[in-house]
Amino acid sequence: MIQTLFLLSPTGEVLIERHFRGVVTPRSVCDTFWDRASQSVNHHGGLSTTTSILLQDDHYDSITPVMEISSTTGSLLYVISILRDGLSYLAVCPAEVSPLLILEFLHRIADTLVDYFGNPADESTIKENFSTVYQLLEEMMDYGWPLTTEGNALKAMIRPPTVMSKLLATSTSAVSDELPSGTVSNMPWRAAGVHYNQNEIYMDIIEAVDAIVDASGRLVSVDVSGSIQCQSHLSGIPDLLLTFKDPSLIDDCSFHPCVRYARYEHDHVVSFVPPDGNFELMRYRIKRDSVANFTPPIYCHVQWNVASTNEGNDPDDSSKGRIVLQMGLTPSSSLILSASRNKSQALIVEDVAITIPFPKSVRSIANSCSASVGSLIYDEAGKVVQWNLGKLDVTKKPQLTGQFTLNTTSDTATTSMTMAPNLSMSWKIPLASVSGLSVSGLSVQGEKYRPYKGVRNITKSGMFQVRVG
Amino acid sequence: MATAYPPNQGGVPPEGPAAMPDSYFTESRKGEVNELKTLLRNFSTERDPKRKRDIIKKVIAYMTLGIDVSRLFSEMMLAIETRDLVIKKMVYLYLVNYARSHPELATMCTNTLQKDCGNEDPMVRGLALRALCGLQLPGMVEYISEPLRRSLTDGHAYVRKTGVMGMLKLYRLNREAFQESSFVDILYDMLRDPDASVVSNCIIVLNEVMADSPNGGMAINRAIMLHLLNRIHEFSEFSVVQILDLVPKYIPANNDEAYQIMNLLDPVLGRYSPGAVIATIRAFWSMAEAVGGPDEEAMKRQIVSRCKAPLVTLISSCSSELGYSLLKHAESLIDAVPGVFDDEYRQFFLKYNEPTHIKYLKISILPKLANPENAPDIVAELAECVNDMNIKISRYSVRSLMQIACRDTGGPGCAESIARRLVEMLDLNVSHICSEAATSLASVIRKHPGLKSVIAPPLSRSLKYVEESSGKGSIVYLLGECSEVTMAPYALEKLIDTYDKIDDATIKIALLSSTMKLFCQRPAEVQAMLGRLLAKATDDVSSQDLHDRALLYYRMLESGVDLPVLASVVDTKTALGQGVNFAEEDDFELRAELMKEFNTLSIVFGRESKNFIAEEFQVKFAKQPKEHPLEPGSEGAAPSAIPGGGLDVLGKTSAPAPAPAVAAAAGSFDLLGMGDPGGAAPAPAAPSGGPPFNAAVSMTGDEYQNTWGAINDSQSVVSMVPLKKIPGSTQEVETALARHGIKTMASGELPTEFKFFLYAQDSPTGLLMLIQGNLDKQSGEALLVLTVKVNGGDGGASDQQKVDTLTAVMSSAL
Repeated sequence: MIQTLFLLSPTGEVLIERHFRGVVTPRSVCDTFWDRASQSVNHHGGLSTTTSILLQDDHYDSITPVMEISSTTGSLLYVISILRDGLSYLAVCPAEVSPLLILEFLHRIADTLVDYFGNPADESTIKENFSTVYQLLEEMMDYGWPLTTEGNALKAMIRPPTVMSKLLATSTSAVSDELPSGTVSNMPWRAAGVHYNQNEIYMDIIEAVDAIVDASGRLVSVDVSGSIQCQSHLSGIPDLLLTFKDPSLIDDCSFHPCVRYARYEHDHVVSFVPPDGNFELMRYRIKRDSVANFTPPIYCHVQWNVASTNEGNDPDDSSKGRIVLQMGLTPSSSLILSASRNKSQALIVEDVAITIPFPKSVRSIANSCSASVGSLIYDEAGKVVQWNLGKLDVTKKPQLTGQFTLNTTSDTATTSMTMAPNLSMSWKIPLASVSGLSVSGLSVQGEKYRPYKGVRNITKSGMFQVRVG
Repeated sequence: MATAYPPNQGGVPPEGPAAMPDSYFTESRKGEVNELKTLLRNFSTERDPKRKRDIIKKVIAYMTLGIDVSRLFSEMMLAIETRDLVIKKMVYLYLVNYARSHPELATMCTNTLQKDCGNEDPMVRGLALRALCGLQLPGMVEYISEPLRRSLTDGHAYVRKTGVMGMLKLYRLNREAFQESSFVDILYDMLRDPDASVVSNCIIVLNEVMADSPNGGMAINRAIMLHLLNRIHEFSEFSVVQILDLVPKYIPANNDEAYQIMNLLDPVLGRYSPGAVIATIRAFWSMAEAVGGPDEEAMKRQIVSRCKAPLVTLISSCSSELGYSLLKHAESLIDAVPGVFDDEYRQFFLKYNEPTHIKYLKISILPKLANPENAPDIVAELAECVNDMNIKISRYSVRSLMQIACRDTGGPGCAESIARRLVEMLDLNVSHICSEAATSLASVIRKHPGLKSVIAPPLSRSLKYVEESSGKGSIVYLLGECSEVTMAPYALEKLIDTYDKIDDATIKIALLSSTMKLFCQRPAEVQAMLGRLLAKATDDVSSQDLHDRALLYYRMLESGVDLPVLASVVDTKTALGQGVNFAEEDDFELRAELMKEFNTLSIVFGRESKNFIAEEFQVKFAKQPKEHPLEPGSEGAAPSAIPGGGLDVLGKTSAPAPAPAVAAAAGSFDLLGMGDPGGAAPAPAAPSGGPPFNAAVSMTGDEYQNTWGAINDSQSVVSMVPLKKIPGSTQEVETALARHGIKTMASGELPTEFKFFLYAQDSPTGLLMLIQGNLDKQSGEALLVLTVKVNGGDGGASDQQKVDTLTAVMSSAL
């Protein structure tokens, strides 16, 4: 069980503090946590930290999400923490717990805050809405145990701040006038009495490619994780049935609690009563063979040279480095394009960006690079250059060249100091998919109306890494 | 208790951006507390609801900042009389926060709270109840009990689940009051509540309240277990874990039931919830252990194969914090059942922007996955990681390469190719990599002495530039082992000549023993330098070990020992045999213990919980029920829903079988038999008119023992009789039972429990029934647990009926 919940700001200040079991956890626990978190430069090293901190030190270490901290009274406490939108969520537990349960619950709290206050739920948002945050915590947890965790049930009890109420600034009722009927239903995720004038449901089948490409363009590892994100605005209690053209493409999947799992096991159809609003219907992994045939849609050739300029006895030893990046679309991509796509239209990759983390020993990166296309952003402190290319099509052959000077003070460390960095790349291709998974039908039962339905495929980069040298 | 910002904490108001719309946090002058006081005084006359809320909100904001606003207590209490829910909530929050420091004032507002507990609005009822229980004032017990009791039968689930949690608060406040009011029985009853979250709260409360009982938590029997498992789909991802955690404590009646439970749990693996998935794996694991026998290992392997896909899906898609814990659990599974995860090895490759603790973990897992097919890929990947900018990652990668070679799981040639890579690293001229490679080579050579020829050539060269002492020591050791290297003595000689510059004892010791080894092989070349070394080392007092060793060697040489004898003393005999691993790799005991604590902090820390968790917080773990409630023959209740094939229960085809018969049985079953006694035995022997048991029967002790032993334990039936109170002595129970023809063979009182050995003869059939009864004095509930064996019974439903009759008679007698 959770004894205390702390929310820390990006500077380590306590924003929210809630003791659940009558025991007051001293704030010194937060101080200890913060000390450790700030020593380990990249904090948890979660994706939300900026790369600049990540690369400040060669010896950086991240802190583990579960740690022991002894309190001032001498007893050991277990602090389980997550980092979201710059805020650290700390759950302090005195006893043996399931760490996964607590971590999951902390994420659920963070999700709920995003749901209520919009993305990102950061420091200023929390300060602005602290009374709602306390009300939410009150309902989400009782005496250290998760209580009401479904967004829809919570919304029935505590009304989220709406744009309207913000604008009018009149009686900002944070509490609904009517009571939750959803809490007694067998579908805690669906609120009762939902009504829309226009009934519509949208689904995005998103496949994210995690890959490591080595210097010669060979794929070292590739993994594709898919998810179906839904936006549902349907009245009443609609019972949906989603069928896939070829369900055998899915290797393994996990579902939102609303999905009838037995039905999927049996018929490979997804039968469910959707929650209202945005939710993730399922996550899946695709079969190994369709991953094996994957070729990245973009190639990136990198040349990285470092040459020591003055071999002499100059104490301020330095060497010159040069980097050349060439990008382009792979002529034959393995992606399966959606049928709705205009056949004649050329493949376009959107939101292409490359992050180049230079070695720490580079003296200055400011204006060291020039690119034929797109814009460059320099992060001098972290020695990171980000190259935003925007849209990329077959006709373009963007190139980036950069020159820089490296400090090589001690020759033993030469190798690690001038070692070529690994680049990370991000991109997005709408109306394309790695697996070719597509929906063959989505039917609504239990309600009379005919909703507007929209389904599309998106393929994008997950952790897409290019090794240099 | 709710938000308890310690008063006088003196929080510093944050320098928020000036443009913040609701600037509750920005102004915090002390004088404003007085201003608020005046505002609150006029509160009742204030007409604008918006302004009312703002005033209260401001008070709460100050409280959050740690400013002491307890002076406003009486004014705030006046505001509690309102129909505005937001204001009510905030006042409750304030109240719970400051009740401790102002107990007398808090007591005054209990009337209002009690009244609110009867409000027509369920939300208000729930909130008021929570606040009332949250005050945690010792004097409040009498005010709490009644509203609490009423809330448990409330028509609205929200109130009921608040009430259930309120009981836990009452228990923490005053144990006696809690026990007097027999809330435990009510809680067991409420396990049948139609609302899933009420049920899961009941489990939480029972587990905490009963933590001191021998079961280490809630008592479970077959009826409760199956009832809960049949409803498992209703529970949210957080409450489902409460049920899943009960499963490892439950001993299934027989193998078929174990398979059936696994079938019921299978759908949980499909949920997107790491906590639930891991808890399910633990439940599966315990069922496999319960089945035991020769199939256990095969079953465990099957379980891990079944869970692999969901686990890998979760690991690849969830946040880094969850990923770390999941990887730790995956690592335990890999240790327990090697080989199953091998084909997923690419999932364990490092990603560039992962946090370092995940990278370290993956590096340590990779060697465990190596098999002849994937070893080349894994070795190549690890070799890539050696070049990482992070020194730790690079070191760990070298070590992992060494582990693959030492485990020798990579197939023929793998160890040699790793050795070649390590040798290449010696020449890399990066200090930490060279050193780590040298240390690893020293381990590899112990496992594979045949690779000496691969390793030997660069040794004397690398001695010059390996700087770290552990690495240098390893090179010196290797030179001693590879005596055939022509240059070996001369490489060491240089080191001996600079002996005074060595400041690390490990290098010196390695130097000493290596020189001795070489001396045994090539005495002529080494003699002179050994002499110089011994002279230096015997004078060296920096290390006791070194000094003593040097003296030992010196005296042995002085006494003129033959070379072969000397060689046998010097030879360190460190080579590992075929199929032997380093001791650290074979800590099976720890691993088995850790698997028992799956899904706890122990897995993350890699230690048993008793080694790091304070005793009061350790989770006691007792398997129950002690006796199986069901004999194999009488499976009228749980029949053919179980696939006959046995092990393939985990196969997907049979998974959705919901065991309808059990659902029906559990639905109509009186959990724990605590309903009214009449209902518990729907068809007792009453119609026959006469007493159900023959009073004239008698047995000797030997007869009793023989008969008991002759009947298989699996044919016994377990039942329970609730008593009004815990009896003062065994005599009390015996006389009461004797009146109804139930005889006592023996009885006894232990410090913690009563034991009864009883028997009775069923009048209509004349069959003897042997009964063993246990009454736990400590659990706080007077519950007589019976284990009944019917001599000559058919082991079927008629036995069950006899026991029902017996139970009914006994509960009316007592």
